[in-house]
Amino acid sequence: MVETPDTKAKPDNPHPEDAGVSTHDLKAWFVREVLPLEASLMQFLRQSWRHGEEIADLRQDIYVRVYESASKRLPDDVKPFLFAIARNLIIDRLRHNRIVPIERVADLETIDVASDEPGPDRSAIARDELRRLRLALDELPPRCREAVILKRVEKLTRPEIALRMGISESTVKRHLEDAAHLLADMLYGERPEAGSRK
Amino acid sequence: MTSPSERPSNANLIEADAVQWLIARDEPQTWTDENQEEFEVWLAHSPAHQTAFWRVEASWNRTELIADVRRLGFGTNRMPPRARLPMAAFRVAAGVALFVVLALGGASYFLQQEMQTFSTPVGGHKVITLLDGSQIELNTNTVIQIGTGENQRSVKLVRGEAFFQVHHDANHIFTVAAAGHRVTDLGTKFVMRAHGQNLEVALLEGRASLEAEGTVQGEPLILKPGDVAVATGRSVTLEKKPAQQLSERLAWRKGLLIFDDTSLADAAAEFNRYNAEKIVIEGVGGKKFKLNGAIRVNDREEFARLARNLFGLRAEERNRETVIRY
Repeated sequence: MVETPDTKAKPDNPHPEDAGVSTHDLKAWFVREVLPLEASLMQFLRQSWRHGEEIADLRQDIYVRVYESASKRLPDDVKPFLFAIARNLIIDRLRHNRIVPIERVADLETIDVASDEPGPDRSAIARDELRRLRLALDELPPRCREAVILKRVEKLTRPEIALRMGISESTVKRHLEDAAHLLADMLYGERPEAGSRK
Repeated sequence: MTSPSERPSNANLIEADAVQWLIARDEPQTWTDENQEEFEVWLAHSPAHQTAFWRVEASWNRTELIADVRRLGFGTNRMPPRARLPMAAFRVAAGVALFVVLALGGASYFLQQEMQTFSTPVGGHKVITLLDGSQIELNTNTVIQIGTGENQRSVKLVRGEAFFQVHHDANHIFTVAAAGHRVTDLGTKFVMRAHGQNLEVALLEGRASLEAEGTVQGEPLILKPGDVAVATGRSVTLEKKPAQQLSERLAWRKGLLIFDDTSLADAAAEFNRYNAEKIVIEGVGGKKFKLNGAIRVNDREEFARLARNLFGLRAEERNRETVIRY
């Protein structure tokens, strides 16, 4: 998948497209640089795409394109890179589906994604981290949250959690899976501070 | 062709798989080599699999942060059914989270034990924040035990020195046992040092009571700000110290020792509490030289330099010790 692992493109490499990015570096970059932009990305997708149920697929396709492009060379400026991919994908989809009048495509071209959100400020993200995590945990269904805390904080095994909570192991597993799914959406996809969705 | 809304989303299916792998892998007892191989095959299948997994894994890993904060004295045995995190307490804990995480790298945590043990090595310094917001700051070479769950306000100072900032709660008294005595907080900041049979308690703010453990006779001694109580096996002496002196005694919290007309011998003894590589005073001069000022707890060179420059003493390195003499 990655042509030449372990050889990173140097800034002065005259043929950066020849070098590849190792999966390890790519993953670290993706988690560090791309995932924190997911809330903005989702907001953009919800504004630009009428079919809410397709947004998860769109996001996935965007991440695949991000992966493929970044595995050749990590982009310098992540936000414009990510949104260019998102915009192009939407344009492709619109042309392909022929659902939407063509002028919507034109609208998309003019969306100024860079100005609607400040770039990710590392220190602000760090400061916000615990608050966000707390909000996300609070939003989990109570039994889910309890299972997560027993697993992640108390480091109990699944049988131990089942015993403690008085439920079956398969129910514990389901609670944990639900929690992992919800936490990913709440920590990356949504923006808890932008009005609580009660 | 079905419409998109009737077809389960491809992305959602992949994410469901990713979550299943994530949760299964988090169970080391049942995770086999075959599982690992299957997982790697699944992961390598497509960038969609990889990015979906990275995403759920990264958010799952972030819950570690809660673990690090909550590990500090918050058992789950008392978890109410709707286990909402106490927000105010959490915020307090969050403030020190980074410090605590760093400091606690090696702290052991045994769920089965009634008490959790926290300790610092010689020269160590550690802050423990309980979920009620109370803070315990350990000085060098200190061992402390904290009850788990609802007993977390029951603390034992096994040895060394600790500074307590206790959030008062009339319904849950905060007690510290040490050297055969017990201090009960009545809303307080105090520092305690246990060495051998001796216990020293200095109260900075609020009220606390001090009593011998396991006895009913005698009134507990009520400590007021400025009081320094020294309890030995059978007696307690009480001394009043100016606030400034008390806060100087806490300079270790900032990594400093403050000497106020302290003899060189006493200063060296104090300094040695914080350092594995000791300062040895040879000869008889130790008592007559007085030090004033602050020094970093681990700056042995500075200590030697002061002895040389202020008192004209000789200081030399010998077997990982600094020997100061005429």
